[in-house]
Amino acid sequence: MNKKNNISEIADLACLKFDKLEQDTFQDSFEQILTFFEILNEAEVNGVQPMITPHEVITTLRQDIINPDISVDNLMELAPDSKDSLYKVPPVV
Amino acid sequence: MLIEKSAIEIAKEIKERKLSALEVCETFYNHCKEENQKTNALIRLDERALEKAKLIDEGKVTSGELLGVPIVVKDNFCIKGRETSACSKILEGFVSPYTAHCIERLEKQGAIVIAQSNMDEFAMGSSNETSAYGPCKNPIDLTRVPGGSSGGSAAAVAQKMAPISVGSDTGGSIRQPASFCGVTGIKPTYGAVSRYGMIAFASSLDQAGPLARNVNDAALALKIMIGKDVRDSTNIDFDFKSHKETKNKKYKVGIIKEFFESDLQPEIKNGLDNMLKMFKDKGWEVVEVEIPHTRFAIPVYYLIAASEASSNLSRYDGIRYGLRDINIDDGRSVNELKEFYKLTRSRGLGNEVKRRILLGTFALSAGYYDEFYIKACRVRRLIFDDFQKAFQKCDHIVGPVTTHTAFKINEKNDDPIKMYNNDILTVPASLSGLPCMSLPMGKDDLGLPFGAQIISPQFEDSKMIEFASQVEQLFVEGGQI
Repeated sequence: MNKKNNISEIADLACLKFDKLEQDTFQDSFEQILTFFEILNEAEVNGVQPMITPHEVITTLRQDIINPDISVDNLMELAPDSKDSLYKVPPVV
Repeated sequence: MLIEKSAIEIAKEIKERKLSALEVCETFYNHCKEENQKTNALIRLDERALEKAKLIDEGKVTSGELLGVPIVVKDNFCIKGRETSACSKILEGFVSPYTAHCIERLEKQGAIVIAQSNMDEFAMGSSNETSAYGPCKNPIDLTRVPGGSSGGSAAAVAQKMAPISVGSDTGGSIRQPASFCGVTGIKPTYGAVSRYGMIAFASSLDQAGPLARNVNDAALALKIMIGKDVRDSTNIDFDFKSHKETKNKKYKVGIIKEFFESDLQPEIKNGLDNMLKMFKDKGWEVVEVEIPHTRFAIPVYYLIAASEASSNLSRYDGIRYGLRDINIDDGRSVNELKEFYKLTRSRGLGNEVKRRILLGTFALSAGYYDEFYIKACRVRRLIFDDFQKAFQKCDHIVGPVTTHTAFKINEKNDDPIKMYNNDILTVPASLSGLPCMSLPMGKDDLGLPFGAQIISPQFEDSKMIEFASQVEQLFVEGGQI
């Protein structure tokens, strides 16, 4: 893969932005880390089931009850910019 | 001196009215203020603590196993009405509208939060140097790191700012700083403590746990923190019994061949040899076990943790809470949504966090998902299976927490791989969801502490603590600590 091009594409996917100097720094450490991870090629994993979590997660269901502890007003107060219980963002269309 | 007392003693004396809760709280609060100037272990004191202590003295709060005991909480646990930031600029100004489940449980037992502690940003680090509040220093040697990411929590207990602190451990973030600062730290079985209200880093690995100056205090805090919570679907309802001393049990103790063959500092190697001799003298059997996939643990851990982090941290977008920084050079604000996200995230997140988000985004992206993330998850199972086999031969595993004692501030900052390798002895147990802990074992020639790591089978947390309590006793009797 062309790692040089990749880092800016990955940054775009991750919603991050770098100037030239930062991009070069991240590029270098990123390549170093990926090289270091090549040791994984030596692991024999044929037929091994991926382990996503340390134990089986059973879906817990509970009643859909409104929790009065946290009010909408309470949450809206945390927003950097809001109006009438709506978050203000730049135009999206 | 009051600050020397254990949490259990303090709670008992407050209950018996031999100590005033306010006096206890004021003493620790003032001690925190003074001591913090040396290390920067704490980032916020909670002045509400004194009011809570008064309620105890007035008889309005009368019960609880930690009645009136001051505790310090890592800054990635939400506390209602308090700023909580995970030591990141992106959560600047966020005041939590709720309290984390495990902290709520401690408070219900009378514990009083007196301060929030420093940590690596979003718990990503092994040295407490990535904090937006500046590094925390090791109280034993101020030129060295306290470890991370729960560096502030470990330093606070070592400095007697509180008898108990709360930390979180994803790949060693309780055990490694506990070892570097000479305190006891427990990472319970994955799922034992609810993650509700703990700011997420890597959800399949994150676990909350206590740090204290002795096993009994840490065990009591853990017993309280464990409890079923429907708001965390990975939280398990399991029966944690307080440990009882069974002095005559003949333990079968496993030592991991690969851990002992690693590049250990001579004093740590000697400490381990002494420990094993004590075990044998006591009539315990020591058996060698193998975790052959240990050599893959660091890449597996960093791929999985970074992947989960890239997903978890996508919530920081500058819209609902935290930092919004969208001004561009000419004084205007950006008016395009993706650019809005990019600016806020780039200005609010630190470099190590960005590096891990990039790595995780890459590992989860189309074309690389199977090659990196899924491959790492397959090797994770091999490591888990290694432990399952090992526990067929022994009751508990012991070994080092780190290969070396605390390193110098800035020593590993420029080399992420060097820093990541620091976690080689702690991540295998984390990947397998096993309960594990660090117990002070000795000091090196410079007087820097190091710990013994104990790893136990899943859900055997209480048996691990029971064993640790006996090992602690051996260390005390043997003059090792």
